[in-house]
Amino acid sequence: MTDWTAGEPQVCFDECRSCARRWPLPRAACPHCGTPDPQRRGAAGTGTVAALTVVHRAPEGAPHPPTPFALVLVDLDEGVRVMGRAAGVSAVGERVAVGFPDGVPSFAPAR
Amino acid sequence: MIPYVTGVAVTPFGRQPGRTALDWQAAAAGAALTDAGLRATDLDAVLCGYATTAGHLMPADLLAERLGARPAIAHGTSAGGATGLAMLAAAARLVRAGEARAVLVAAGEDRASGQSGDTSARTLAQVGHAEYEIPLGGTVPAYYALLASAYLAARGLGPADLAPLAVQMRAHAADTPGAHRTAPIDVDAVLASPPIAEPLRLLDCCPVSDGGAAVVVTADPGGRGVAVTGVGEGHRHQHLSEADLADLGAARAARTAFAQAGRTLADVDVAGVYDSFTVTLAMLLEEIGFAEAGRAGADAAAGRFARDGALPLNTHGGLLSYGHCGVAGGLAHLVEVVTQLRGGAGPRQVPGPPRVGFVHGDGGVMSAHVSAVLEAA
Repeated sequence: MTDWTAGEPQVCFDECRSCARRWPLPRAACPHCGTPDPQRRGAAGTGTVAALTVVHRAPEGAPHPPTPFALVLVDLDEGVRVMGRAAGVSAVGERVAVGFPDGVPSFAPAR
Repeated sequence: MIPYVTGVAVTPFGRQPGRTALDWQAAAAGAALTDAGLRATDLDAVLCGYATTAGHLMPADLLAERLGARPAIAHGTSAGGATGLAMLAAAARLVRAGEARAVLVAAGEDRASGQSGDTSARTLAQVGHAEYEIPLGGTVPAYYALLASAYLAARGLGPADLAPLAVQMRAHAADTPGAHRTAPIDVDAVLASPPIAEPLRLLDCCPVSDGGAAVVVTADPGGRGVAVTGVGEGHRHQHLSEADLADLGAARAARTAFAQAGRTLADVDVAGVYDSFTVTLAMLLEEIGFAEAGRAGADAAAGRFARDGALPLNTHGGLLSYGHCGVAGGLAHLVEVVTQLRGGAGPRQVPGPPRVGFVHGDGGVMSAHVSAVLEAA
């Protein structure tokens, strides 16, 4: 299962093959029970905004859109929290869906 | 064997061009050795924090040679903003184990003048995940702003509720020689300062400084050694995407340190807690248990963290106003708490005198946590 970091318009997460706990970033083993080789699974891309920032200062030479731009943490419906850019999001608690307009996940209000 | 902090030093922090990272480390180390009444040749261990402007492979050997030390043990340490206290913890363990009798812990960096602001911001942003976070364009202030957004939303608070922490740190810095930022501010000034990454504004963020700090940890208490009675750490995640906001590792670190010391939160007379941003300080105070959930800012506004308050906190001005030159910024809290426990803080001395001190450092995005309990002899 490949995701946006490999060019696929998809957000993924890890799931433990033993205890079924989930987390966002690839790991070699489950941090809860230690079972190795978790399964990489695809997410539907919908969730709820857990945190929102509008970035006004960002350094030259780094991969960011023109300032100001928004970043969010989103609690996906699969129970995993991921980071993304955001467009049109105004508050924590808002329902959002992911898109990949610049090849990276960007969350917008769910229709 | 109980380890003692017997020498401390911190240089002025600020934009002070003309010195390299090694110059700052050596200046602070020399002053701490003098304070301890030791020569470099007395050291059997040298621990030195990384400097982003230097990037040297072996900063402790580099510093040892400059100082004229030939220690049996020397290594650099990297745990972000927790590095200074991670080195204190390592020094305490070396002394407890009988592996060393005199350990130098040093840090310094020309972080403000040795590189451009953009270079510094890009370097620090590397605490984000190389594939999943950095390509989104985040910065360290942006990551902490996300924490602030979640913190404020969960507690039904707004940015004005964090601002009193910046105001209190500035008031402390105004009385501290060598502080980077000393002009008085109030809550309105914090809220009117330019947005960096909302909800954080300029005055919610520490400045970037040049400077150094060092401590000497020894088996011999000397005349006025401060005992390191407990150390603890917590390392639960590296990246914000994996952070458990209900259990970041700060409380675990503190619990371990208090258990070793046979002390509790209620015993603490003076504290130094990492404050890279206002929200950093609020979240650490609340997770460790020094403030109730959502109350850190209100406690600051009520004077609880003032020198004559119930919990004198960052009495030198903290990172937010004494300044932040990297690893030495986190060590400055330790230097201040030791100075207070010795009764040597002069006009900014906490009344009491304080007997039990607590320090806590945070590295990355609330990623690495180190606590220590210190007690006056």
